[in-house]
This record gives sequence, structure tokens and C-alpha cells, in this order.
Amino acid sequence: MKIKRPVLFIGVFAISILLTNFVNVVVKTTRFSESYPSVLCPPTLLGTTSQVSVMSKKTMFQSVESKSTKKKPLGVTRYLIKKDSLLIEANGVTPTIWQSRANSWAGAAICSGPTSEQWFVGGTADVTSRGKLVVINSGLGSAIVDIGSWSARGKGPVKTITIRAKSSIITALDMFAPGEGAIALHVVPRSGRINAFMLDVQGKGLKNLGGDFVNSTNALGKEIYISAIPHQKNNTNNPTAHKLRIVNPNGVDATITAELISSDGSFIPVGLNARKIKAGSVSEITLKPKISANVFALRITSDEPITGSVFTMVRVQGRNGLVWDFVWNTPSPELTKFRLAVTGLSPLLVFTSPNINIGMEVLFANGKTMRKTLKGFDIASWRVPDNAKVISFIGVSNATYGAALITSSDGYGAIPLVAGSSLSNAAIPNSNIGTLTPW
Amino acid sequence: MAAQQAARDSHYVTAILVVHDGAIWLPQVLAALASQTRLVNRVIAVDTGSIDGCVKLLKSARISIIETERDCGFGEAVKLALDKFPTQSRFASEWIWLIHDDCAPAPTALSELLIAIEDRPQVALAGPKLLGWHDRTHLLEIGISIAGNGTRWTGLEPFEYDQGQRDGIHDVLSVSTAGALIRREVFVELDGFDPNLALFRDDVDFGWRARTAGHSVIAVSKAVAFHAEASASERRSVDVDGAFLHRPLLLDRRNAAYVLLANSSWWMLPWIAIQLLTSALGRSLGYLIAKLPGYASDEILAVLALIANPNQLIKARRWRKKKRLVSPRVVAAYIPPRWSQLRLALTRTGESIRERLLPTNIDQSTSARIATDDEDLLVPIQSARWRSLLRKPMSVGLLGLSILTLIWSRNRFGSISGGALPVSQTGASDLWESYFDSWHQVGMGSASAAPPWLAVLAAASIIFLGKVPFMMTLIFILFPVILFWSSHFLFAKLSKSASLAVAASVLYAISPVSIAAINSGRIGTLVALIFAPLIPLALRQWREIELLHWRRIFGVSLLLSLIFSFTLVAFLILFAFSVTAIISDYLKLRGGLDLERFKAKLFRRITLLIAPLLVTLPYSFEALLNPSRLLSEPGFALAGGGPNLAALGNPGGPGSPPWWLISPILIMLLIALFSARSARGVAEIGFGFLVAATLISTLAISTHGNYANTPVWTGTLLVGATLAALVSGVMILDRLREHLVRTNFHYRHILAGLLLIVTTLYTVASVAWIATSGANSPIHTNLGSVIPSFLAVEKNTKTLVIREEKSAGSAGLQYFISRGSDIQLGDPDVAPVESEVMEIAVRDLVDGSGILSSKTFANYGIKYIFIAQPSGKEIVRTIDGLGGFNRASATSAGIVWRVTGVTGRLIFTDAQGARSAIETGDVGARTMVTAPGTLTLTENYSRSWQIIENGKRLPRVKNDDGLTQFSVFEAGEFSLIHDGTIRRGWLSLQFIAIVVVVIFALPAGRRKREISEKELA
Repeated sequence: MKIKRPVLFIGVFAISILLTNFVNVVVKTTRFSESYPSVLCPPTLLGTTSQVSVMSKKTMFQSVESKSTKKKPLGVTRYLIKKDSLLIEANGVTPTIWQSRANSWAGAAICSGPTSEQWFVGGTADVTSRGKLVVINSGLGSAIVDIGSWSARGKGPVKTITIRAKSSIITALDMFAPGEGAIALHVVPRSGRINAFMLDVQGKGLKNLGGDFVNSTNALGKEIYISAIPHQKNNTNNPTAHKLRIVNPNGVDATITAELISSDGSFIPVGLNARKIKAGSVSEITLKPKISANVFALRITSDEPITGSVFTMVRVQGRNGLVWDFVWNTPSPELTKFRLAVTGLSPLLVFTSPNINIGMEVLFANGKTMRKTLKGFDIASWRVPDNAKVISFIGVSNATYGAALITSSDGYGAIPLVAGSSLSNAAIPNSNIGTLTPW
Repeated sequence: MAAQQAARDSHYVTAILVVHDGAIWLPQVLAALASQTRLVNRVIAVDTGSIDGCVKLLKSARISIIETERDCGFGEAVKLALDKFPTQSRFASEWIWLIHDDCAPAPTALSELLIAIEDRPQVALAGPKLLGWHDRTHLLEIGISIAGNGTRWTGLEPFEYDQGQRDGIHDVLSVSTAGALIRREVFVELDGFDPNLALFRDDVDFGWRARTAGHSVIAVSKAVAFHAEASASERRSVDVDGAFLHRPLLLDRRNAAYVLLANSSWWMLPWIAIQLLTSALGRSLGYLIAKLPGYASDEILAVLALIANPNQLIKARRWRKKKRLVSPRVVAAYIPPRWSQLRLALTRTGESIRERLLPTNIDQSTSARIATDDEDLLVPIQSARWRSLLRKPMSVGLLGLSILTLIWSRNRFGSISGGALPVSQTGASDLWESYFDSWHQVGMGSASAAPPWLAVLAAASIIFLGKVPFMMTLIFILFPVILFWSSHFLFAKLSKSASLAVAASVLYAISPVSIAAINSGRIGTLVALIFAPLIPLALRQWREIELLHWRRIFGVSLLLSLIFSFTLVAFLILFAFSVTAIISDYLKLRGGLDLERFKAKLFRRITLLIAPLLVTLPYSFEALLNPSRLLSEPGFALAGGGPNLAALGNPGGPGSPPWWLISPILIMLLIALFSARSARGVAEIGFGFLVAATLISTLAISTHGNYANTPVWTGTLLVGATLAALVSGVMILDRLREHLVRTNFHYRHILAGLLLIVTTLYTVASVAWIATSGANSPIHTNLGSVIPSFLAVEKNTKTLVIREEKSAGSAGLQYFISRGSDIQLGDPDVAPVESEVMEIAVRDLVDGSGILSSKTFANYGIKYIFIAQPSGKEIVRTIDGLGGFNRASATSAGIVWRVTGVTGRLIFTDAQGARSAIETGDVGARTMVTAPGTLTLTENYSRSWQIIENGKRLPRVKNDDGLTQFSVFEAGEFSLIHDGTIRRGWLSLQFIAIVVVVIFALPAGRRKREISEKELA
């Protein structure tokens, strides 16, 4: 029997199976989209100036309250915001905003994307309060937002506001818990693309007491880190006092322990070990640590989810002499790899972790880059060189928390080191007519 | 008897024999005249220029001859004869007996005619019963008339057997001039035959005129004549004056029209003219279909010839009016009613079909002896016992498969959908509409050509009274049985063993590809499965294709067109086969093959490839431009199972048998590769199909509304592999048993045993699987609807539907734009490509970055977003938080958001930029604008969209979103239309292609001169 031909056929068949198995890749019908949602920068309030630091001149933006939905490039890497809040396509580089009132106060915040909730622990609602809560709807439809308030007296009524498309509502902080010295707000959008910013400005009569952005936290936690708390000494060479404000929105009392971490060492200040925080209220605890370090961090643990912040009075040498300002340090989430635009800011970065190992890459305005690795225990800090444009956190050790402290002749500001808009990895829907038929 | 004899003697009969090239029949005619029991008194022959020796014959018969010109008509010839011989006044009456040279009267013909007229003095014209020249039992005529459409009317059935059923003396309109006995004085009184009717219909005309002159016309059945109808059957040329192009049919039709128009009442003329024209057109079409263009042109030319010369008609009517004594309506009783004509036409058609389907077998008797009636009585009556049916393999196979099918289909009793099969349209008209429409309201709208299978289904649904869902249900239930039936045609021809053929047919019906195709609703593959077994039968001479008649080639082209209508994978297969064959032919040409044979092969192969493509225009054309369509199947694009399953003959995908249900296809092909030459050849083809399926199954295409890359379903290719495997298996096993019994134990015994075991295992396992989990297939009844009813209330409102897909082992989000109704048959096939803008808007909507998504949706006319449940909370939260969408409802079906901003199908934007939605219909609209501005039609751009305002077309552009936009310069009413001219043009082309292929595929008609005399009787 002639077997040449049959063998040839079987060979071709076998080769085709081998070939197809070799080259056959699993066809994935699910595609994913990786994108950074546009971030929103707060408006410039009356009497203040603000600049936003971005990575590139080509960064696109649009004014939220403009009718037009067209975007245009910023043209500079530090943009002066005239009035309206800006929607910026930052593409993963978190813009930083620096707002100040000449010779009065300064504050820093990051421009961020919309989140499902925001906690603001800071500000006052008493006679000193000149602070505002700015709620911005950058979406094309109207939005409904619930704002809950807490004070030492407990939880206040939830205020629901409706915000028209592409507009904002500015509410004075003393509207939420009138007369209360310590408040905390919880902003929960029901619908709409919502961002909120709290600006705490205090004054007594004509005397300015300072001002700062109270950066928000997105969630409560049983372990929170508040980094980059400035620690200055007063005229008598005594350390200045700090106020730790804790909000316990739960139905039961929380027991907290705060550990102070500084280059001098870590310890639990007196009175902060297993301290009870009343349920549904805001508590303020004064801290007067006797440490030589200029900056420290707090690690707060609790048996109930809480959040908090630290209020610190600071002074800076202004153009016309000493300027008193205050700074609100708020909790930072665990540090992740991200990029922060710092054009013109030169912040002091403070990291807290039992084992710090941070890799950074600094992009300068002239296009050059510099790599820096920061290693240490408990706390480590590093000041970003002048002329830096963007800091990229390219290597991050586990359980590391960070914040940035920014100073200028107008005052102090602090921001948690957190990405303003995180890379959203969503499954891209496929266009399929089969969607319309049951299966 | 004596009195009768005397009576006959009182008549003087002059026989006038008109001769024209009738030497074939003339001797018999002369003999018949000579052998009359009542001899004619005088015989005169008029020869009209015969060239075949007629004159010599007549002279030898000692008959007086008048020789005249070749173009002399029949009436003129008779007149010449009468002019030459004076009237015989001494007889009571003088008669002329007209004899054609192809008409032989029986010996008693004249005698019987004279007897019949004896006591009927009113009779002016009497004719015999005309029987066939060859078949003398074939009744040709017993009196004639003319139908309203000009047809010569005898009132007889086709090939009516004369057994005396028409006997008697009948009053008729007229009789044929062949053997007609005419009273001479009446003939003279009526001025003889009309000179305008040189041949044909002169008899009807004369009878008509005799009737209106107050005379009678009778047909006498006792008088018999045998007529060859030589001129009508084109046995001789027609040379009479006025016979344009010497075409008998042309002359006959022209004369028929002339007779009707010259003799009818004036008020009947318009109606008759219409009848003549329409019937001429109808017959022309018939002749064209029968590939007789000459006859077709005769029909038309006949009418035109008469219209071209109206004076002739006017004169003829005046002439008749002078001679008319009674109203023309006296003939009404003799004109056949239309229902008689219809009945006869139906009878003829039915008889023709019956003859084609069940040809009469003349040699039915296998015995040389003819059984007598007595013997019949002795043969015991055989009553077929029904139990004997169960002993027949065919019955057992069919019964078993039917039971299995019923169990398999238990979830399909009702309106079915699922898998690749969309919901069926309610009625046939909806299917036709889907097919003919130039614009399809699917997604953002599509101007793609609807697939031709829609038309096929629509036509088929006529059998089911237009109930498409019922038809689809029934077809899907019957598919296994149909597959069994169709494959049995092939296998029964390959093997003498009925059991083997039935077993192979059952295996074919429950093969992996059949199961998968039925379970997943893939009608393309199923149609390929049904018709694939017929192709090897039709193209048995594929290598010697030049031996096939063109009719067979076009017949196969029609069959291929039907398959191409459903799946163009068949085109790819045929293309591969054709190219291979053409290359092989070319090599043979170089090796010495005759060039003419090569050309004959080439033309036939090209025709087989091209004709089905033309028949399936414009869909096939679009598919050639978009090759991924060539690999797609009708309905939703579902994934195939990949190369490993394909290599086992299993196409995979939803509803397919599991991998462990390994069919014996591969092993059959392997064994056949080492077997006899014929089986090996088939196995090689089967391996070719398997290799192609394996390779192609690695491809992923996006088509038919599914823009994710989907692995190709290779069902149609595996049909070829399955069929080849079974054919080779049947070839091997046929007579193998005898061979194995005869030979010693060797490897063939092992292979046969292995094949048997694998086949049995597969059969048992597949039957078990089909009866259990196989019945829970994607295709079943009561699947419900994705879109909630409240979203379907707003007519033609676009809703973006987002849904989580959890089928086929993958999970992901899918979306499509709904128009409120379910997707129906054909919709996926024309689904448009989603625009990039839209895709980005949906992506941004889902990932939360779509600040402008709502604006984009509003621009595209999308009014609602619907997230079907179950869906992730994350996406709901994202849309809630994105802005631009207001929640409208949240039910168990899903969540609906309303897109903010003005939106609709037609959006008007005025000069200030203010937008307003304008109400429209489904496709077109008649509405108005109140100011200048722009109109944006939120449908995909198409050049056929037009807005006409005040008789002017508004300028149209494609805007940045890919939508159609019109500039409006003034307020006023306007019409929005989608111009279907291009679609109609394509459909016309397709119709022409179908007609041409059908005509060439139909049996050709024969010209009368091509029909044997025996057939003509």
C-alpha cells in the first residue's frame, strides 16, 4: 500500500494542530480602560490668590462654571486661578494648589477627582470662624449632596443641598454647628460629580488668626497616620501647642491611643493612651510634646473607625514681619506610587513607617531629572529642591504614610501625600447587539 | 339505408385538396380519398408551389391539378379551385370538401358528414372528428373555437384519449378546414375565406362569419379524419403571403388577434385588446422561461404587426358587417369562459409537474406475459402489515430519531430564540419589509444590505401562512429529521445496505456539528448541513464538469445560491475547490488536453462560482468588500470552540457537545486514508476541511454587531469534514463484512472493530447527552425581553443598554443602543459599526472619567441609559456620581437614567444655538421648523438621507459625530426621507440574476419542429 500520501495528510493535520496550539492566544473579549478622571481644583475665594502647579503647559483644563465644555491648555506649569474652580486633565500627575492671602495665611490642597464621601475634620463654627465649605458640581446634571456635621455636642442635622450642573455652593462653616469651636463635616454626594473643599480662616475681630485648607479624608479608619506636623518653639523657647481633633461618628465610644513619632523617638504622650472619645462627637486634645524635632507625626489607633486632624499654630517670617498662621494636618492614606506637581512649592516631605524606603524621581523645570532614595525608621523627611516640577514616587515601602509641608512668606500649608485621581481600571464595554437579547 | 344512400346521392361533393410540400403524407391522403365509401364527385388539387414531388404524386393519381405560386394562401387556393369549376345546379345541394395534404379522412368520413347534414338544412359547415396522424387514439379536435386571449380552443384535455367520450353531433363555432364540408352557396355568399388569413385561424373566422350570417356549424364525430397538423407543428415551412419571417407561431397569433378584433362587437374591443396584449406578454414570459426567445418574440410581434396596420382591421370589420344577419353575440355561447381556460391551464401545469416528478414508465411490466383479468383474481390480495415497517431500517431510524428529537426539543415548543438566533418577526410581511428596507433601525441605524436568507425565510413562511415564529419552531424541531432525510439521499446511493445508509444518516443528524448548530440556533450551518449531501450528487462529474449540461450547472448554481444566502463560508469552500480544479485543468491542458474542453470546464466552474454570488447580491458584494463577513453566520456572533475541538469535528461554542463526546469523524477519516482509492479520495477532502477548520478557528473576527473579537465558528467547514468522514465510512463498510468473513484475521478486522466501538460509544453517549443536558440549549422558548416594557413605550427612543456578560466563560460589560424592541431576525447581520466617539463616551461613562458622556449621548439622540441587573454596584455609583444623568427608575430589571439635555431623533438647533427635538416617524417624517438653523438627524450618516423643503433638497453634511446634518435656511414644512433608490437598484439586479439563473436552470421548451411526430401524435 502506498502510504506516502496518507502520511502526508496526517502530517499536515498534525502540524496544523500543533501550529494552532502554538500560536493560538486566548482571545480576551474583556478589555480594560486605564484612565485618570479629571481632577478638580477649588475656586479662588475673595481676597485670596491661588496658583495650581501642574506637570505640563499642555495640561488641558476647563472652567467649571463656564457654559463651554471645551478644554484648553493651561499654557504654564503654575497657573494663576482667577476665580472659578478648574477641571484639569492631569493624567495621573496630582496638581497642588497653593492659596494665600498676602501676609495673612496660606494653605495647600491637592486637586482631586470625585469621591463617594469626604470627611473634613477641622474648622470652627464659633465667632472666630470665617471658614467656608465649597461644594462643586462639575457634572452636566444637577447634583444632590448630604452634609453631615459633628461637634462636641454631638451630631448635627444633615443638610441636603442641590447644586445645579457646573456650579458650586459656598457655605460658611458656622452654618453647620453654630457656636461650636470644633466641628467635623461629612460630605456625601447622592448624585452628581461632586468635590468639596474646606477652607478654615479664623480671626478675632480685626485680628487675623490664620487660615488653611482642611484636606479631606475619604474614609474612617482604626489606624490613622497624620504626618508632617510642624513643631515650632515660641518666643520663650517653649514648644507650641497642637490640638488633636478626633471625630467619632459611631454609636459607641471609641478608645484611642496616639503615638508621637519624631526624630527624637516615638512615644505616647501623656493622656493619649487609651483615651475615650465620646460616641457621635468631636473631641479636641491639646498636645505639647517636648521634642527637639521640627516636625513629627502621629499614629492613632482606635477600636472604632475614626478620623482626625492636628491643628498647629505656626509663624513665618513674612515680608512685613512675623506672620501667624495655622496649619491643619490631616490623615494620609498609605503611600502609593504617584506623581505630584510641585512647581514653585519646594515642599518638605515627611514619611512615617517602621521601615522607610522611598524611591523618588524629581523632574525639574529645565527637564532634568534626579533620583533620590530615602531610607529610615519611624520618620524621615526630605525637602524637595527648588525648581522641581514633579516628584514621582517610584518606589514605596509597605505601610508608609506621608505628607508634605509647604511654607511661604504668607504662611504654612500641608497636604497628605495621596494621588488626586487614581488610575481607574474599568472594563471597557464591548459594543454587542447580543446585549439586547436574553441569554 | 336506401334513403340515406339516396340522400347522399342528392349532394354534389367537390373535394378540394390543397397541397404544399406534403409529399410525406400525400400518398395516404390520396388513398383515403379513393377509399371513401361515398365517393366524392369531383377531386381538384391545388398545388401551391410544392418542391417535394407532390405534383408528380397527384398526376400519377390522375387528379386535376391547379398549380399556383408558393405564397398562395389556403383560402386563395380554394377560391382558385372553385373559380375553375362551375356550380352543379342539377343536384339538390353542392358541397366542397376541403382536404389538407396532411389530412387523411377515414373511409366513412364523407358518408357520415353527409348523413349528418341531411336533415339539418341550416348547416353550412360540418367537420369531422380529427384524430392524430400517428396515434390514432389521440383526439385532436371535434369542433374548434377561440378564447378571449386568442388561444385556439378545442375544449379537450392535453393528449386526450379518444374512447368515444365526445361522440355525437355538436353545434360548434367552427371546425378545422381539414376535412371540412362546406355548402358551396354559403361559401360563395360569405366570399370564402378572408384573404387576410392566408393560413391559420381562417377556419375559426369562417365559422364565426357563418354563424353571424345565420347558419349552423356542426362537428360530426362519426366522421373521422387523421391530421398531421404539419404547418402548425412546423413540419414544413410556411410560405404564404403575409407570413412574416416564415414563422408559423407569429402568423397564428397575428391571425388569432385579427379574428377576434374583426369579428367581436365593437364595445368588446378594448377588453379583447387588453386580453390579447396581456396574454401575449404572459406567453412571451413563459417562452422566455422555456428559453424559446423566438416564440416569445412571435407573441409580441404578432400584436405589434396588427397594431401597425389598423386599416386592415377597419376594412375587415366593414366587410363582415355587410354580411352579418344576426348579432355577433350569437357566438358568445361558443367562446370558452375564462374559468374553463383557467381550469385547463391548471390541468396542464399539474400534468406537466406530475409528469416531471412521476414520469410515466412505459415499460412497467417486468413480465413478458400480460396478466389476464382471470389471473388477477387468483393472486391473493397483499395487505401491508404496519409491523413490517418496523423491520425496515429506514422506518426504525426515522422513528428513533423522531422520538429523540421530541425529547431534545422539549424546551423549544413555542416561540424560540437564543444563541445566535434572534427573536422572529411576527409575520412574513415583516421579514419582507426587513429585506427590502434601505434603512434599518438597529443601533445608530444602518444602510447595510439585508441578508438574502431573510427573503428565503419570508418566502418559506408562506407555507406556514406567514407565521414566522411557528415556522422557526417547527423547523428547529424537525431539523434532525430533515438532516437524516437529506443525508439519506446520498448514503443510499453509496451503499446497497439499507442499514448502513440509515446508520450513517443518523450519525449525520446527531454529529457534533449538527447538535451544536441546532442548540445554538445557527441557521446558516443548518442549511449547509441540509443541502451539503445534495452537492456531491449534483456534481458527481466535478472533474469532467464539461460533461454537465448548462442546465445542470445553473441548477446547481441555484442550490449553491440558497446555501450562499445563509453562509458565505460555502463560497470560500467552493472558491478553494474551483481554484484547485482550474489549476489541475490547466496542467492537463499543458499535458495535451483539448483547449475547447478546457474552456468548457473553465466556463462551467466560473459560472458555478459567480452565479450564486450574483443571485445573492448585494449582500455578497458587501461581504467581498468586508471579508470578515465571509466567515460569519446569520444572527448573533457567538464564539466557536477553537482549534482543538475543531480538529475533532466539534465546532464548539454555546450549546455544543462537551469535549469528551468525541465523534468517530477523525478515526473514520484516518482509516479511510489507508483504504480503497475512492474512499481515500473522499477522506483527503475531509482532512482538507478539518485542517481548514482547525486553522480558521484560531481567527477572531468582529462582525454582526459584536465588536469584540470573537473566535470564528467553523461549523460550515466541519459540515464538509463530517460528510466526507461519513461518506468514506460508508464506502469502507459497504461490503466489508463479506470481505472480512472471507479473509483471515488481520489489521482490517481490528480497524473495523475499532471503528464500530467508537461509533457505538459516540452514538450512545451523544443520545444520552442530547436527551439530558443537551436539551438545555441556548435556544429555547420564553426568553423574555431585556428592555423593560416602560422603555419600549416611547416609540423609537434610543436607550443605551449596558449589561454584564456572564456567558461563554467570560465576564465583561457589553452595550448596545436599543430602539425599544427586541432584536429580530436579520438585525445583527446589518448592525452598524459603532462610532469611535460613542465608544469613548461609553468607556468614559463606565470608568468615571466621562464628564461629557451625557452630552455625547444627547448628541446621538440617546434618551436613557439602562443598566440591566445583575450589574456591579460600582458602575451604578459611577454613573450616579458622574453627572449629566438623572435617575429615572430602579427596578429588579435594572436602573434607568435619563440623559439630561435636549435629545431626540431629529434635533433642531437655531441660530442662537438653542436645541429642540422634533418628532419623527420610524424612518421618514413630515414636519416643520420655525426658524433657520441646522437639523441633526441622530442616525448614522448615509448619503440617502434627504430633507426636502419647498421642493429643494437641503444641503447635507456629516458632522464631527458622524451624524447627518442639514442646513435649514428658512422656516417651513419639510420632509425627511431615506432614499431607497440604490437599494432598489441592487434588488433589481438581484432579481434579474435570479430570473436568469432560474430560466437557465429550468427545463428548456422545444420548438415544435423539434418534437417527434410520435409525441405530437
